Amino acid sequence: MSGSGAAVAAVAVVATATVIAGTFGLRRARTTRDFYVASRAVTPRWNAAAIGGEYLSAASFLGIAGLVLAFGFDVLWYPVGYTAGYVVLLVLVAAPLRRSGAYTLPDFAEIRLGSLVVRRTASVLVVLIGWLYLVPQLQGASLTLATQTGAPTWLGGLVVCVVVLTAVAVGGMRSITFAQAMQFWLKFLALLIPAIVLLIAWEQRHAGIAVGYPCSAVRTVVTMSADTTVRMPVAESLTVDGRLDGSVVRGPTSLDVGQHRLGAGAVVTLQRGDVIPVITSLPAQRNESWAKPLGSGKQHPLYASLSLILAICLGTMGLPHVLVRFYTNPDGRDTRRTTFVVVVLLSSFYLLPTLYGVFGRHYVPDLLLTGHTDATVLLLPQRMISGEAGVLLGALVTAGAFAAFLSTASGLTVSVAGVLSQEVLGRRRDRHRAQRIRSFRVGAIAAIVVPYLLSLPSEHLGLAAVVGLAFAVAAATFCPLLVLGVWWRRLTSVAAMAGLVTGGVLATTAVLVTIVAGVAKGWPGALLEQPAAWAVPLTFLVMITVSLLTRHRVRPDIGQVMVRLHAPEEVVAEINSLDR
Amino acid sequence: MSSLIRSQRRLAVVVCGAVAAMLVGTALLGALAPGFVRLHVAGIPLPWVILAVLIYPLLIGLAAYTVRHSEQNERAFTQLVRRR
Repeated sequence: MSGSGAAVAAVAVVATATVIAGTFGLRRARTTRDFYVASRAVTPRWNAAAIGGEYLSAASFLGIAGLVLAFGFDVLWYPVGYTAGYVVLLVLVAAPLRRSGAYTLPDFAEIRLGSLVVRRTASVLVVLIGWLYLVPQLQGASLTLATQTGAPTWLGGLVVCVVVLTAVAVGGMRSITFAQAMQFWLKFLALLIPAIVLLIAWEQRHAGIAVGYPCSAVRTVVTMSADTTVRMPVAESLTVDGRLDGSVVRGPTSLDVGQHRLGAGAVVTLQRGDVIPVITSLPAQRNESWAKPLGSGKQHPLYASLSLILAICLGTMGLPHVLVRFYTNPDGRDTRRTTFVVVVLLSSFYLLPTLYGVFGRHYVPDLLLTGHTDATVLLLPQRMISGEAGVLLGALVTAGAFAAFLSTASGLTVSVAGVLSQEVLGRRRDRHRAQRIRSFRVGAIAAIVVPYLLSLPSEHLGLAAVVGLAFAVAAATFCPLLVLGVWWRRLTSVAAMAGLVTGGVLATTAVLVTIVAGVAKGWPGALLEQPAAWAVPLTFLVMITVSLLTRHRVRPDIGQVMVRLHAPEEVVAEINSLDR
Repeated sequence: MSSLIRSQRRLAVVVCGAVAAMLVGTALLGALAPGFVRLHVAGIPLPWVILAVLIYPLLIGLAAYTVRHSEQNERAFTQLVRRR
């Protein structure tokens, strides 16, 4: 059995299962409310697995291992932050959000502040964050298919678009709850089983990560897909066929320390023990430094770590596709319990990507040459285990990766489509049901096709890094809105508006500059690459200051709103009758 | 009502403070106490053991604490309302 055949089969099975799970839900999807939030009749354990399934995206499944391979200790903050974000969400907003009765973040803004303008602004931000988050999912799918089967680099993303739209069109959200829960377990097992096998293989062969610069563990042939500037950390003789520094070379060539330019199509044959040239967009660090805190070779690593922690911990609550899941719990108490189960599931899952990253540093360091470190998880099983077993494990991780793209992409598509169909395609409540469902489907197409087009040309920044940027925008906008909205009576609609615009504009600008122009040198680059540390406090400050300046605008019935958000469901009626 | 919000807010501050102390503490430890980098547990550097493994049970513990205490706060509040 060939590796690419097995990979194609794996992708086909996952895609078919997703669509079948979608059709399974079709009979139940009766009203629009069912269609959007699965009639709120999903049990907590299913729901927790579904939340996990939706949350574990390409960034978690592929991206973290790739970042660990390239940067080492300093990127362990990603998985830790992804988990800690749920603890923060649990204690700050989970139950009040469920009790507010809102379906989406814009709904919450309207319920809490009674303002349509704030609602619209929140809608724009949901679409923006959703799109920003969808781009890396589709890039991940394209990368996976290209790596495993040699398919063209636009195909994987297209497959995800088609499957997601089919599943959404036939079943709405109900189908997706079951599909998501199933996909969590698929993703978990798809990383766990190979990890166990790899651990055994590792124990037999090595005591630990070697010292010195990353070097090839086996003979590896790398074909450059594009013109690439690389840095040699030490002088080394490598076998190169193709253009090197402007002239055509063939066979063993000595490369000096420093930068070299490899032409597209050049073939580098690495022998066992050869030190790997590293693409200039990644740091060429010694393994000793790689393993150390703040040793990743990034600029201002302590600031970057702290800002990243802040962005992920506070951004989680502002992700559009995650919150919509909470509305499928029956009450606030169940929502908290569900969130607790989510923390347990994530904690188990995130033990694994780190392991792949560390193994990757030893077995697939040639990815440092091409910069395609996101492929670490995909290549590792076949590199470490020879024969059929390696092929099968490779197919398993491919299936898991596609489960990751499909689940996150469909969750985001449903959320963004819901907002688009309500806000852009008209929101008259009296419209005919068939019309509303049709507008939801049109919204779904727009929700996923736009990011697909964006994913085609964009410079590869690393899956987890782009997702990190989406978190930063969410942290700088929805986090202050939710936290102040839930815990502070005096938040006014004018202040919320001012804060959303400030945080949204600042964080989006920083993100766009980073994506379009790349990471600049020195402090400006560090501040723009990790905007959360300054943008989040600033947004809080704007919201609080403007609230205090517009004191008279606090809504008169704020007491009742706070009761609705915080009181256990069974006593809400009694409190309201006491007040009267 | 404000008594419930106040007790829940206190819980939120405590838990968020604990999360921040854990994460920022680990980050600063790497910056300020480079000595602890050289400690190893079962052949793995201590910072990796903390950040890749040990921190997760701590986060689960915090989540369990949050669920237990916010439900307690709500029960106390419900009794208060019913007694009136």
